[in-house]
Amino acid sequence: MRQNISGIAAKVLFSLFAVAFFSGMTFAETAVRDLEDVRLSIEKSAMPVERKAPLFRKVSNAVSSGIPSPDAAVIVKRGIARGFEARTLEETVDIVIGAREKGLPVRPLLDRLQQGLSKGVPPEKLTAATRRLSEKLGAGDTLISGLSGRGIKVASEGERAAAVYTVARSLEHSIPEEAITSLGLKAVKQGAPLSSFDTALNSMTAFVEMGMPVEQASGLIGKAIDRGYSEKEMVVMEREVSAGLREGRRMEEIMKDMEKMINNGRPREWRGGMEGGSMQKQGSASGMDSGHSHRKGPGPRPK
Amino acid sequence: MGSHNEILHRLLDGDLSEDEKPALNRLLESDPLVSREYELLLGVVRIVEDAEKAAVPEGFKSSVMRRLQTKKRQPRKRPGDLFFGDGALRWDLVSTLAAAFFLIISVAAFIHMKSDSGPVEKMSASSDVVRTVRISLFAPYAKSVAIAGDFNRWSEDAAMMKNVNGSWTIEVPLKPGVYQYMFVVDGQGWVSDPGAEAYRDDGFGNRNAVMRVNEI
Repeated sequence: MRQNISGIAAKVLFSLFAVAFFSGMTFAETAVRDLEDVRLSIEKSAMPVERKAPLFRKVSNAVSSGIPSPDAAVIVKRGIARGFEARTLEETVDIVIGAREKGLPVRPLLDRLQQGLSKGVPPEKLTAATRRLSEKLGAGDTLISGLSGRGIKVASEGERAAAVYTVARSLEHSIPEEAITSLGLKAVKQGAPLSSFDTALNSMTAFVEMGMPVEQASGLIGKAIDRGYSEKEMVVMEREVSAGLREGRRMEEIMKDMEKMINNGRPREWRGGMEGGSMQKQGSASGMDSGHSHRKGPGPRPK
Repeated sequence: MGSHNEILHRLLDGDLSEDEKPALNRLLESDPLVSREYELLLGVVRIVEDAEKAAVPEGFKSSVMRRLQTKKRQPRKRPGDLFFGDGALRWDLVSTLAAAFFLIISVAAFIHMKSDSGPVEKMSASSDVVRTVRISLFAPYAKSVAIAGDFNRWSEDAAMMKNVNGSWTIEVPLKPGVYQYMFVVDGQGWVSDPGAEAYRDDGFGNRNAVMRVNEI
């Protein structure tokens, strides 16, 4: 089997390399290098010999279907290093290939896999979380298509992919589809672009993640849209809630204040303005020995 | 045995060097099987040499040359003949699959580059700008600190931070966009940035820090 996988890989890689060389395409060179890396990792791994060739074939299929080879390589190599079984790795790669075939954005899936593998998430949990995200991306895609059909302006494919992911993330946090659709329809009614809907939903999901009930989060964002808040102003709202919690305030209190502020003015008039707000201090770093952090940025570094 | 065979053939063809002959003689003396094989081959050579040589019929040479001229290769008329015409490059299964594979990934990569690159969340419109972001964590008892995020495929050791009096710092070049990250302390502890402007659930129950890199 070792000879078999080496033989197949050598022929394919040699031919690819030859084609890549003559065409001078950097991308193909990268793909060749990454696949060679993957092949070596699989060969050196302790997984059963009979599973090695199918796994390599699966990864090759993934790359040929358009999955970026560096991402595929990271997943397989990291998975092997973590002791994942070949079948589990094949399963995870299958989820990504399936999403690609359906025309869904695969970046969030690749990110989740890479992140989970790095963080040492157990195989079953990682597969389940990735599969769940894939399903939600499907639902998100349908929802965004619906909004597109109703005339929401989509500037680019990248913008659409980001919005699909945001919807998927919202659904993962049990935000009802009706609430998301309602927000989308509000954006359509106001002639707002998809990116505005994306930002609004992102902030709403962040509120829910931080512990705000869905109804209140939906209500606050709805009001902000009614008042014509810009995307940046939505982000400021998110920062305000985050900063409030860090200061030790209760969510009910933060929500009341925010509602009052929305009724009275725009985020520019809030404390510190849009660019200030949240770049403040730090508490103890969780899980560390009495440490704390300080982060300068994310603005440009003064030279 | 294959090499003995080759040496025997070279001997019979008169191609064996003087240096090689003593070794062959020793082999013939020591190995009866090789010696027997040599005798058989020698017998075949003698039979061929002793055979009566038949005369070539008159006009044979010119007839062969005439036929060769009619089979002369036609010049390629179309560019496609290089690949698919008579005497073109030979396309076996592996080469064909590899070429198809290459074409698919090239097209897919082009599509991918347009729609699927960058952070998980969105990038700003003019994403060619690269900004340097400085990120720090105060961790006086840590032996090593790295930053892992969607900008480096969550690598635990690709971006190691520098320690100055317990303050671990790194400068990361990033395009405008929204990024998620965490710190990896001593190679295993995943720590969220306590000073982050916002957080995101990572899908596994942890909180990633969020940073927005603006154009200006």
